[in-house]
Amino acid sequence: MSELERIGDRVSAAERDTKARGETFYPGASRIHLAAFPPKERWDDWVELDSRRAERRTMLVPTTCFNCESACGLLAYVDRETLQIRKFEGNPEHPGSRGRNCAKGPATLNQVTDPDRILAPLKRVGARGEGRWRQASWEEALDDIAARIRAAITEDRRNEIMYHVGRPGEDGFTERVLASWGVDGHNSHTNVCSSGARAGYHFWMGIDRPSPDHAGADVILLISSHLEAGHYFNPHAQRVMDAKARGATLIVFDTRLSNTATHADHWLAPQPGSEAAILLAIARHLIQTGRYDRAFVRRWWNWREYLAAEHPHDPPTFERFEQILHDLYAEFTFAFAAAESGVEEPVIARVAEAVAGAGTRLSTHNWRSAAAGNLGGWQVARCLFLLNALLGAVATEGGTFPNAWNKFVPKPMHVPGHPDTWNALTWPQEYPLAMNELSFLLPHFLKEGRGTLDVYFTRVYNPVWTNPDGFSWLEALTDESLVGLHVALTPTWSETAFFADYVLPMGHSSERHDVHSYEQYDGQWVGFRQPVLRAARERLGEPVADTREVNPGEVWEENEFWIDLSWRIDPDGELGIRRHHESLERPGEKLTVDEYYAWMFAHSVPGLPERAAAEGLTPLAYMRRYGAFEIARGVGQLHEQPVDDAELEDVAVGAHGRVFTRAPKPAVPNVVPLPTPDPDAEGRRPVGVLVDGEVRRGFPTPSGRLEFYSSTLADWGWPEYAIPTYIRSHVHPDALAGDQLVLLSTFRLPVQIHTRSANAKWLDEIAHTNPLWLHPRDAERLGGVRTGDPLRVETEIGHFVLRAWVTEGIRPGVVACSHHMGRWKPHAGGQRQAMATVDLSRGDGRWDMRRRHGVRPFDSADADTRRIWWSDVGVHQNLAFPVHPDPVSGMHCWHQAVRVRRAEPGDAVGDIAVDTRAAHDAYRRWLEATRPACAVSPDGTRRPYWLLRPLKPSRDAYRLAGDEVEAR
Amino acid sequence: MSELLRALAVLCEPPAAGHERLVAALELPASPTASEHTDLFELQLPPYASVHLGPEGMLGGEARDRAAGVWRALGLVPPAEPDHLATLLGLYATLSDTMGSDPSVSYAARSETTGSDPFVSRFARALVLHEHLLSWLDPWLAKVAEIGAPAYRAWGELLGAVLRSESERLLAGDEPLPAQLALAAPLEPPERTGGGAFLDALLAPARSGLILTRDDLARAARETGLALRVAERRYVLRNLMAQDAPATLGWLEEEARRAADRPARVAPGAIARHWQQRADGTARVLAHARHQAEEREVTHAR
Repeated sequence: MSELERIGDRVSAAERDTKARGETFYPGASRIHLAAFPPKERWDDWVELDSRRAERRTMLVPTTCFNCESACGLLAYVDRETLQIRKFEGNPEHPGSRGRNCAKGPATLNQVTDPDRILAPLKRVGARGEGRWRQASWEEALDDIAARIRAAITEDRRNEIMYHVGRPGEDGFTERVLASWGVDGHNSHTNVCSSGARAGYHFWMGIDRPSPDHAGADVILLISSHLEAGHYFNPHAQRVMDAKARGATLIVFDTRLSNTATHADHWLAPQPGSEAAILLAIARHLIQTGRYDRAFVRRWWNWREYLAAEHPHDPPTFERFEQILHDLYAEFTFAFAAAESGVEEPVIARVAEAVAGAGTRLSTHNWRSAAAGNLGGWQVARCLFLLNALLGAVATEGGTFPNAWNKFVPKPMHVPGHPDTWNALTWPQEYPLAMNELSFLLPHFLKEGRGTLDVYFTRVYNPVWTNPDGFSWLEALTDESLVGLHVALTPTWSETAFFADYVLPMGHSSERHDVHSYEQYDGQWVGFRQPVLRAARERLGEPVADTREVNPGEVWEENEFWIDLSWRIDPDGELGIRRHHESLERPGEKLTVDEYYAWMFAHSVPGLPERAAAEGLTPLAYMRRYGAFEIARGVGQLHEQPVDDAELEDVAVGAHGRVFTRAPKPAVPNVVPLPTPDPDAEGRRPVGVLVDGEVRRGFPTPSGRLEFYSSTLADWGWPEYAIPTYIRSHVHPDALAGDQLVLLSTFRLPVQIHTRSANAKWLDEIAHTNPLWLHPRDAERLGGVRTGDPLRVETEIGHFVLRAWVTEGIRPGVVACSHHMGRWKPHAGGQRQAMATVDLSRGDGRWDMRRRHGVRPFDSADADTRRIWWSDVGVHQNLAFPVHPDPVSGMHCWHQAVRVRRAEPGDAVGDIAVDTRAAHDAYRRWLEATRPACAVSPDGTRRPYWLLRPLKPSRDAYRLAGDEVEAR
Repeated sequence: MSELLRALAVLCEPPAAGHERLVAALELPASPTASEHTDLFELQLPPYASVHLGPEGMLGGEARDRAAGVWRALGLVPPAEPDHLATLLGLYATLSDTMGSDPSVSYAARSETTGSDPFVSRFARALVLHEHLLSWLDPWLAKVAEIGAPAYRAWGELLGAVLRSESERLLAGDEPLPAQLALAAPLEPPERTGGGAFLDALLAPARSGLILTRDDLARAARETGLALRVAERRYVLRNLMAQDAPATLGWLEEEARRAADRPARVAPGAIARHWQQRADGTARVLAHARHQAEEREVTHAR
């Protein structure tokens, strides 16, 4: 052995020994392993110099960002002397975000120290919405709310309890709380968000979210620039850029020049709503030129079922299917797509060629954007995934995965059964195929007398501001005969919280516990959000029993809140609720968060106990120390996995190869939501699918294959949409009057996040207003409008006033206005950094909002609030939008047909006027387009049982009630 | 060998708490201090290939792009500073991981264990070694030995030994001159290029064959008895020339001759010859320039 080899061996041995101790051998900042982070073994006592070169000693405690959905890892730098958080940076141990954050992560510090934050429970004094509050104790609030809920449950008014959630930020905890109460009261925001895209994916692969492996792709096709610039901005964006740096081609469909579009190799700015036409032209190109993966299509598409249903007299051969496929999309020529979209034919042809060259390394993504904007938008996702399905780029390296394969939801200690009731306020029978609750129609349902609410929780949700038609929400929320008690669980003031009876302060990302896991690459990880000061104190040997001990003021966290509330609803256990919130270690006592997560991490996260033990830690201590754990990397093609013989018992094979078994389903620690395809007629459960003579795991669809043809859509009243197709939007040029433009309202500036970031001064300074994007040609047509000119935008139900931004970054004939802005408050209180103060007036269906004044400097504990230099906070455009529920997916179709003109004398920027009677008429018109379950259900139920649903009532509850059946 | 390379790479980063562990593992006599690091790598010898291979003698430019190109060619994302010595050694170590340390193991067998193509890795490893490390480290390590603190001198000795060993294992010895050295134009007389361009070329190691540090120029002032104006190197040199061009050029000529006579440290063969010849050529140009300057002074005196 040479001398160098000896030294080399010595270094290698030292490296192994160091790593075995759980320490970092190559310290940061180092270019060697992207290790520009404090070594993890020094997280207990990290020394940095401040700007005056004084030593600052901090503890580094991981948590998870609570701003957008991507759940990036954060490291809180907790001052060891003062036990205050000094800053947030990225957590290098987080496999999704890999130590990198967007602006919203570090700005968590602003949210924690916001001088206007709600620090104690508040109870309304005077009329609802009057703006007068008194401080209440948690005891008072909990007892009051619990008594009402207990009464509703015992009096069989369970559908009067509703929990309406915006950003869940957790994986199923609250659904289980509701299930433990036996109420079908979960109401999500998803139908104003992502359910259009979800529907498209769900009908294809049984799973409602895509998981694109951008980093491994050769071609990336995004109809989701909104997503890459907002949600998932960081974990997806960094992987898109990794691929681009490798030479991958980026294709972006976006009518507006978004941040993502600026990085594209091919930016297509189509007429809004025409995206599916372009996608089908690309699909046609793949089919006509024979550039699709024949073997994949033959093995994994449900083409046999399609032939049997649509061409029963044709030979059931793959060759025949190919002939039909060839003809099915023949009309979608490049010329057709160009005519629909306004994108030049050669551009579409070039993009089609790029896609054709991707092979199995095509990653695609649609989330919101076109799927959330248009009538039939759900078909955009369906047509997009058609490209993956044609190329076989499904669960391949660089392809697109079903998200459930790249997500891990650890099973908790208590899993209550689902309720035996059906709440028609959220799941009305007009929308049997809706992907999620028809949440944004709630005020109209209440006004129509479909039901009332006794206890209504809004939780990190602001429907008055986020949803369309917010004045109808105000009408419902201020009517105590419709909403008995409104409880706002929120970390910050919101337009909805102003109209609550209780405002209960909940923690930000460094003040609460949650687990979560998201699809960001082909792997599975679990992230842990935790109150960092609790973890810091525990590191110093000070146990904390209640998170309120360490949070600011009386700010609480939800886990402890829900456990306590449930306990009070059923103090003696007679309702069967308490047992779901009881300690296993100390029977008869309330569960603690420590026990809850300790059990979960010890029993339901494969590999974590071993990894923790190797560092001499318990699984919970490991997660408190590192904040995240990667369970698997390179999950791959689960659909190709053979089914174990042990699972094949008394097997039956269905007509098109679906395989059923009597063997019980094996227990798994990952309880990620999956659909539940129906058993066969004899009660065997679906276990796989027969492919070339072998039983493979397949996809969780009725057929077990990718459903090019959806029998669900065909059987439930929409046979014309059973295969991927193009639905003309409600804002198609043919539907517009000559003087109307299309308004895009779904995009947002990437540093802000819905309701939750107005309390972050750094973010407010960067982005605080939302002018109207207007193409120079349209500006000229409107009489030479210039940037800054006030404009009036007229919708179907009213108008709003804002300033113009003349830019070539938008397609002519289309205008755009960013979400996030136009925050307002009707009183002096509330969030002062980004909320204008307004006067509201109401008269006979007519609402007017007049801006009293914009944002201005103010005195507070934070000297920066005297330095506020902006006053314009934009306009709350959503107030002037009527509801547009898609009759299939239930998604609100956000795009608006509008008229834009110069502001009138007396108009002020930020002014809004709305006629809520016209809003209700619009609701009725869209409702007429539905095909209700009572008319189309093939089996007398309200909804196909196999479809995903956050809470899944018993099968009996699925049956239409007698009076509903009579209506058939 | 890959961990040895990584450990050596980390030690050209600013000293941090974990460095002592590396110093011990490498059996180096002492840990460098922060001021020693700053003096050597921030003020005297920036550890960047682009400074020493680029025609401008500055950070970035085509020389850095060439380093980034290796990452791209391997399907990797180039880091922010792809031409930093630590980064290049880190890349080389990663490629060594892919190849495996035992040369007797077949490439196919290594491919099975690493999942990467060992042929590509071997080629890439040789490329990085020859084009991006050996191409400039010979004169650079010589300078480290000359001006570095004892801790860094020991580090440089070890790094040189490792590179020599790698060169013997991986290269045939008849490789063509690294492209960036071949492409760099030699120093030309000032009357052809102008005084400014002449100074620029003199300070660009790839063109002059000389590495002139701040301390070198301070020494030049001391040894010629001229005043030192403390500033960036080009300004210092211009100022020395303005005070006494023949003396300054004479001093530079001696430096160039010394460099031309310096034996190869890590890269025998074409690379070492190139640096020696380039320095020799520079010495001749400087001698010519000195003569002309002396003549001008004589003419001036008359």
